[in-house]
Amino acid sequence: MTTSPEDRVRLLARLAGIEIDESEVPEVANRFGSLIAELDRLKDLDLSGIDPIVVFPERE
Amino acid sequence: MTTERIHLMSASETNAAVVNGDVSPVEVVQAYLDRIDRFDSGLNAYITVCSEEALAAAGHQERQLDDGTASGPLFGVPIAVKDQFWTEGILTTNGSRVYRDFVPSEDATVISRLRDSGAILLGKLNLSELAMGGTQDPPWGIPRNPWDLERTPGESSAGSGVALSAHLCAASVGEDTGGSGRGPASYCGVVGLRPTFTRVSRYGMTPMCWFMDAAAPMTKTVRDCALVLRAIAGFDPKDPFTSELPVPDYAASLESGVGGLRVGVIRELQESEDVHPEVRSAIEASLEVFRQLGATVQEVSIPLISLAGAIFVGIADTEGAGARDDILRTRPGELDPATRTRLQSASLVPAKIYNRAARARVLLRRQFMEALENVDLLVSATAPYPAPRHTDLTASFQSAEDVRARFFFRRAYTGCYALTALPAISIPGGFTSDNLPIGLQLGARPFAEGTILQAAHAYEQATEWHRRLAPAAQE
Repeated sequence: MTTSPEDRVRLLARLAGIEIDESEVPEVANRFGSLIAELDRLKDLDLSGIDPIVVFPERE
Repeated sequence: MTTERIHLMSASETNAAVVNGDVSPVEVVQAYLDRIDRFDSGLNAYITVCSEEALAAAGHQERQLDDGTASGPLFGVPIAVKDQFWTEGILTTNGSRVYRDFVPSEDATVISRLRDSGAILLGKLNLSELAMGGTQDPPWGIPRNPWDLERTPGESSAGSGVALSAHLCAASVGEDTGGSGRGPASYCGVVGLRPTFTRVSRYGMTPMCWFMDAAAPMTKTVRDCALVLRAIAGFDPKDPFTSELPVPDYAASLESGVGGLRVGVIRELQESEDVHPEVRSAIEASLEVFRQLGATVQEVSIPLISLAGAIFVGIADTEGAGARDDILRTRPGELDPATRTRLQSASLVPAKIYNRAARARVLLRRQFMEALENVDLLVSATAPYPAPRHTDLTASFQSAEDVRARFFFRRAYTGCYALTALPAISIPGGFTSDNLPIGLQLGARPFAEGTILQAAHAYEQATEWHRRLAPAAQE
């Protein structure tokens, strides 16, 4: 059985301890779904050997 | 000089007029207060107008002129700042009902440095809630674009763009996390600079995203931008990330021109099929101006830039949700619905996805630095289209595809410089056929603000875009 986007948001919000008004669940689901879909496009990048950097050094 | 023309002067011209005695500091401040009184009710640029404080500071400066102690490159210049900067004893709202009673006990470093340079604080400017964008019901009114009141002036330093475009202040400092300074500059036809990330202190600037927020000089001219940047830049012990590199006299090298500079137009941004045709044409025309000024122009490719919007939102919104976690948990009802749902959705992003975005950011930086080995300047539009209508910006999202089209795409243009911590400027680069400003964006290597300003100044002096007056700013 597939989980609806709204139900996924409800579940994640419960786990994160975030209260979302039921009337705004569809909007949050749209935003969250789009964000995840966009970030999913990064899956194909070769990021091996790359560590995150918070502040880049002055000289590289 | 007639006081009727004071508001049309640039900050540097204002400073010169005050120092030369052509006009008094009180006359300058009063001229701007009169214009704010007359025009701002229809524009909503200001949240707080510091009338008494500004007139008192101007009076003090008159005495300094009398006794010969006047000093500072911004002496006599009325500056208004985004209401994201702490100002001692003055309401600082961050554009949010949550902060409607917040009065800081000290100045942000940017504010204290502006004061030290002789600037007079004229007021605090409207912004999207918490410097995020998309606010549906701004507590202090919808900022109106002086070029078309039905269109957005951009986000989130909206008030800065409006106030400069309508000549309601002589200069401004906004904040640019992913384009919040350059975007409004583009839509309002003024200058906005995002400095190298560590160039200007963030102390006392309410955070949106800890590792991308940057104070952004916003001005009427490139010369003013050089003056304001020099005033606020430099190491600050209160912000451990600020660079200890010396701050150049940016204005001193403005006249160096672009002869011999290598200009690279970013192919992926210029050729995107979603770019407004008049924007694309304006950028092509700007390249010809650079050629005529003596620069060499070539095309460069930064393949990952098409994903910059997604990378940016993945990092900035997730960090923003972290920075606002207390508000989200304890006072969500006081947030605008758009802010609330945006923060809530970002709060749900899994750590592994955030980390992937953070690593992709490093790869994007590598691609930028590789491109900058072959060129001195990167050129693109600041935004792929001119200012949208307010209704287009604040409508609820109807689908995930709607979010992608309206939310992610345009952020690649400015967000890429925030992600890569590189400096970039937006300057007036043309107009559409219906008289809406088009922003021209120039980027460069870390700490190469001098090169950017030098090229921007050369372009500005070769064109007339910055001289046009917005309809709502005219008598």
